[in-house]
Amino acid sequence: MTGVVPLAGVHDATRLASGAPELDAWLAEQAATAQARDSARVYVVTAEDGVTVVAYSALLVTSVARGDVPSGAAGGLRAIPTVLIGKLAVDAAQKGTGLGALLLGHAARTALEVRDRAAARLLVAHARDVAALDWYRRRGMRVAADGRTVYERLTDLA
Amino acid sequence: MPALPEVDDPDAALYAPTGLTGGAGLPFDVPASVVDAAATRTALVLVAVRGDEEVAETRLMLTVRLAVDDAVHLWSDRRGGLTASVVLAPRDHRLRINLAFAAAARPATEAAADAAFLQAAADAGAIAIRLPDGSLAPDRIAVPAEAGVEPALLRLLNLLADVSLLSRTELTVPAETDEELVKDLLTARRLLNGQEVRGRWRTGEIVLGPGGLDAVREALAAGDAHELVTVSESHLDYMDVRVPLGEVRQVYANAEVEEVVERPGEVVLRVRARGGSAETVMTPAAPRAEPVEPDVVLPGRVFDELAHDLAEPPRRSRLRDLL
Repeated sequence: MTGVVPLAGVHDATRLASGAPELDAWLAEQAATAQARDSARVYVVTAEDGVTVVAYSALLVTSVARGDVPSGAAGGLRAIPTVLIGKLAVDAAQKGTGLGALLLGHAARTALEVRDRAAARLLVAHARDVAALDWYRRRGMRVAADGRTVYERLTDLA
Repeated sequence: MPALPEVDDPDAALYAPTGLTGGAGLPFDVPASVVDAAATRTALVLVAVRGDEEVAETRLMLTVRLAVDDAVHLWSDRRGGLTASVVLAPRDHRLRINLAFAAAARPATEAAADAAFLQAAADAGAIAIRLPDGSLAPDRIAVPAEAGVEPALLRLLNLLADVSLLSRTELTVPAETDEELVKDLLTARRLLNGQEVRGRWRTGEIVLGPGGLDAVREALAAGDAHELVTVSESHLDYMDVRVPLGEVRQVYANAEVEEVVERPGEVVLRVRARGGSAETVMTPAAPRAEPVEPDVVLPGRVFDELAHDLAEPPRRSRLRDLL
């Protein structure tokens, strides 16, 4: 496998079979557009041929916001600058080989760079299902009170 | 819309808990004289530990404080079903923690997370309190195995949480379950994961548009058996929530048309399976690529706890091992 590289036109993004069809579909149908429009930064790991994508992540800068602003809390914290792992998937045939952890580590390093250059406080992801939640938790992400959002404080990574 | 088929799923019996509670509660006496009562907001962070290894962590918010004689009693809110009550008794230098778990009526994702922590604590054998400086208190609180969560309950909560997460619909844990509900949830999870579901069908209704009758009049005749194929949005009716399952292609084998009913704007075919029941196959349609949602909006309570955690002192992150 190659290392983590930005998605480019030479990559074949149509063959990923991660077991999560909507993630495979996003990579095949929307990832290149998201990359071109700067709505997400897509990173891939390819097979030895350097072309076939076997794992990917999509990162973007956003903020975690409070859904309901409390009355009288004009000075309270309402939004937290964040690097979001919008998508992360690994081909089923490659699961257990460390590609997911490789992408997660890359996302964490990227988040630290953002923090150093432009300020961010959290790395956040949404777990697709219970198995994904457990996967993130076992690798060090913390589970928010809603039971679906995982996060880690960037001060603890610096 | 197609109803979920009758599925013969041998796994369904694994999701039938004897109850929806867990945890080992140690009773404590409540003194008669309440000296002081107040609202409070204090985080109690419990860490399941196996030796020096941190296995799991949960954060409970203690929101009610009672001073009774010289003891202080604190209670947490219910959140996902795990609650803590704490008694601080300075006279005998004792701290007593009582954990209880009751999942019914709680959000499924939160209940599953709380159950996972409780079971991790029971498996690891001990919990520790995380101190304000981020380190663990040296004392270990032994957690007996019976404080864990019944395996069937854990499976059920994870199943509910999966359907909730995959469909992006908030589901609450029911007060009671039955095998039919579990089978429907298992079917829903398969469809949401893009997997085919095979089952049996007995009767059904297919609603066509106003031009539908002309289209099928020649093809269908009462008394003949047909294979019918529908493509439509499927759903699961769960309590008072309609859970979207996505577009599904469903094949009804051996369908006999019982009746054709014309109503304003639509035509309804009432069909039955020849011989009483026949095979049906549900296949999810091509998955929709969901765009990346740029906004992360959390409910107030969830956001507040996250913000509270942000203000805590630095602590070691296992994620650093991946850098």
